[in-house]
Amino acid sequence: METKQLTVNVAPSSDEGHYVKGARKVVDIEMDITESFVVEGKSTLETKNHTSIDLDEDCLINTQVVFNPFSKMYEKVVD
Amino acid sequence: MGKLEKLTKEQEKLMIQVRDEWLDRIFDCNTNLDKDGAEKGIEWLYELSGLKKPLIIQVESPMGCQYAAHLMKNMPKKLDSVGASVNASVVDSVVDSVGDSIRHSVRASVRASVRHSVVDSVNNSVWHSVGDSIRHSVRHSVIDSVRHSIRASVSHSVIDFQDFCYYGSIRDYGWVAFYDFFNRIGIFKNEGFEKFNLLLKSGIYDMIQLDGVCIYCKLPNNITRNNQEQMHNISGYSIEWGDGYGQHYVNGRFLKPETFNKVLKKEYTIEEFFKEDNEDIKSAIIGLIQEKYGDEYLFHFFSKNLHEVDTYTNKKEDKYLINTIGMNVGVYSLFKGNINNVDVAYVRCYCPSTDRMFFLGVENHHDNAKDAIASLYRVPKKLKNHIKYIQRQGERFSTVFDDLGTTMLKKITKRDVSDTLALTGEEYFNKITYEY
Repeated sequence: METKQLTVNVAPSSDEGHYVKGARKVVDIEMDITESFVVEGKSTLETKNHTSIDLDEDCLINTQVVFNPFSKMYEKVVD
Repeated sequence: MGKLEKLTKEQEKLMIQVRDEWLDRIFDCNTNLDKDGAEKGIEWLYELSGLKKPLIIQVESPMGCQYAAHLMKNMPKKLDSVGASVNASVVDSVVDSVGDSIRHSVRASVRASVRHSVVDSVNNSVWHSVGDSIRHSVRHSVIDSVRHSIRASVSHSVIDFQDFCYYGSIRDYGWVAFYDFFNRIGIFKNEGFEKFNLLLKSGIYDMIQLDGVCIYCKLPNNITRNNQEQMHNISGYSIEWGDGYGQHYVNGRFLKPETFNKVLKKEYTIEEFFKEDNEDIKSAIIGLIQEKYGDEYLFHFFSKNLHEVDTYTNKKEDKYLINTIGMNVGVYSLFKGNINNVDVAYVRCYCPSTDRMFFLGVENHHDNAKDAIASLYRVPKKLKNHIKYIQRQGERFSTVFDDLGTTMLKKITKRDVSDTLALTGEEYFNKITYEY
């Protein structure tokens, strides 16, 4: 059926985004360094290039980091 | 009359036929433009939205639409003699007005008709087989990527990017095909829907809707895709229009022409590779090198500057391998070397969903792949001892905590989530479950 579901992009720096669908509440805690979100309620994490993941319990979503040897700093992964 | 509760065999056959007709319209690349039909449809669209009749400009490609919009916006006033009030003030986008009209006058109306006449299970089934399927293949895999790449390339030029339309492009194929099926089996009659349907069937790819001017382009002449229906071509453009404009994609990931051509000419260097800050683009470059020149060339590309130090294989339980792909799930190799007099270390790993290869930077002090890859996961320091399990989707981790940790999570602050630490390899791999 053509339906609309509330979705929240928990990967704002990602070209494609990673979307939490069906959660009771999604709270953005920190967006600059770790892109951290607290997700409450059973939901699904969906994105274009990866299999969807069931989020069965409340959780923290944050981003992977990589070490840039040229700047000698950790950076959030950009995709 | 009762609701439609089950499709007949003939209707099921028609459903697939409708889906394929819409997909073929773009992917067969031989749909001729019905210019007259397109222009009538655009005039109707503007009329429906209460807008004045526009000057209609047809170009070959979506980039052509951007150039045309730029020219229209910068046209000197003295050339304002084309009879459609075209001048430098004609810059306002009317996508909101057009969008509202289609949404309220057409889409809402046909949605109500179908919901009134068809049970949810049939509705769901047709949406899954037709609407959603087309939306994935056309909207997600083609037009959204093309628009995104045009916006990115235009933003680095002297042209201001002009938003494309909300309604009136191949982006609408999914929902229109869904209702087209119900229309064909006689569930509803709606003049507005039929006109919008005809507009899309005229062979329009995309359009820019301005006040007084509408610029649209034709469907592409060529689209090349891989077996996962992602745009993909290792020899040339994956999508190309009649004016020669095209875009390069490798397994669905856009590559700039200069990068694509350098790789093809074997002029792309490892220094350029590691300066690229987008991991998906790096993975697409690896895919292009690998598919074009083979694993041996790929190995030499990296081995000139990097040597393998250690490999760790995380053997997962079978249940965690469902919906993963390839033989490389859980294989991590640590490479070290020197690039431009900088000591570097990278972990080579593979995407469990697509088997794409990644090289992720780690600190040079690591001497084993297990600890090195674990160092890229971060958890707030105050929650470290409360981790129940970790899941990963690409570069996003979801971490579930025990009861105390979950209570603490509800009160977590910005400072808390920024004060993080890494786990050891042993700690990390004891907690990670699903990885996609």
